[in-house]
Amino acid sequence: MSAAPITVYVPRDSAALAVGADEVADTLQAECARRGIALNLVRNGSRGLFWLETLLEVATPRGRIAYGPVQPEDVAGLLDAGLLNGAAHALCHGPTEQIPYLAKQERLCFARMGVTDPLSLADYEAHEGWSGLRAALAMPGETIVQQVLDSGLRGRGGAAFPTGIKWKTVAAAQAAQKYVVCNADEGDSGTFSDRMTMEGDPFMLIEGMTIAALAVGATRGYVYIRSEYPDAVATMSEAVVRAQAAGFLGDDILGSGAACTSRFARRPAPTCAAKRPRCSKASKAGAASFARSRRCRPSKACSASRPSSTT
Amino acid sequence: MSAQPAAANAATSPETITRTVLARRAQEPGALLPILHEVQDALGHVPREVVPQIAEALNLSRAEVHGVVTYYHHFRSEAPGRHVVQVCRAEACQAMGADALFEHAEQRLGCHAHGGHGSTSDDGSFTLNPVFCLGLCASSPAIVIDERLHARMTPERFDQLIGKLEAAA
Repeated sequence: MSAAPITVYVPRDSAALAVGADEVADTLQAECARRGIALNLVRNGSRGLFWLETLLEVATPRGRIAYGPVQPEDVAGLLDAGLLNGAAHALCHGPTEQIPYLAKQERLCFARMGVTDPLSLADYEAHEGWSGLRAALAMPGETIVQQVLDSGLRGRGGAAFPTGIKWKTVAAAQAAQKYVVCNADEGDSGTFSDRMTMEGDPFMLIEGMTIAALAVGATRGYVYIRSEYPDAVATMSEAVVRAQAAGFLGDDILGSGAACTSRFARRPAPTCAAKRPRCSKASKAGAASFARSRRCRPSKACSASRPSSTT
Repeated sequence: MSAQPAAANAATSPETITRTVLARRAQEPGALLPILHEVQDALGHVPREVVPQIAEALNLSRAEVHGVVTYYHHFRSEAPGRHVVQVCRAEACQAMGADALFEHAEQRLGCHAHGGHGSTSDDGSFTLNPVFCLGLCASSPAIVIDERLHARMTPERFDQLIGKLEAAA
């Protein structure tokens, strides 16, 4: 085991876990141990190429080389074929970034998605993480609000409400305690970018909520997560613990004296079957009184994750 | 939230467990949901008899606590089967055969869900629930077995997974 360990990425997004990514990772570790190969296994987020999950990537001098969809039973053959050198194989797609589906995308809020280990503070920092928070800590709240107003940032929940207007309203409200509430309850079939954000880049959400809190004078945050997303609950919970331990959340953020603590409202699925009107046969009277505003999505720029803020 | 925590706590009554949770949580702001989660995580459900206990500790009416427990699909008032199986029935999964998969699951598990709600097999092995969107629309149909997600599900793979659970029992 004298050679430097080779870095292999196996996603931990639930779309990968649900098709056996943990088993692929376990098999890879066992096979490498058996062969005396030093392995640096990174559990990254998903690149979003779901038809290729489990999408395994190997770090090579040519960049990251993609293989997928990999099943546990493919691992030994892949290693035989020279997986760790990025060698050719029926499952090989070449450099990940050159896969046409990815090559034609310009990623903004998903820039880190699938690239980093979502729970690595070092990865987050190395990919522009916390730069927005650091900038915000150096400004008064009204300057933050003005910058967000000037940026034209809007909500991505469908109404495209101007984020700065919302923040300005909350900043002007008088209250003993203000909260930032992130509604991550996306129940519409076909939309799961909130899930991917929480599982694939949770510190972005924490940073965005903290910036919103600084801007409006809130000191507590809530993330409302669907119980249908057990992996998002686990990843967000761990991310909060790590952010808190590193001083990005708490009573004295990065020594600034500013405070923001985060809690989870693990949302239990409502009896009205995800409260979608078109599932009316499963709906129950009374559900409407619990109707919440539509979910909000992380938006581009300054990694402001645009949580909906309420007093 | 494991499907079978009851055995581990057989020696401890629901009231005792609830008291422990309340002692730790009752003073927190917005404590009701976290308390209900912890009670269900420990007991597998939120028994009706602990509702007055929770209400009293939080200075809420029983009706308010009952309302929250019954509003959310996630909270159960009855103990579930040893394994909880959820099959997504939202649009993307429906387009990929989720309805047929759900019927297959009903037959295989001996669970007959009425009116879209969950049901437990007579032998208490399985509870089958419909669920609406697991965020795995691109890999549908998707199911959950005891909090583990499985995508691109087929009746054959479903039977394999269930067979493994039965063999381990």
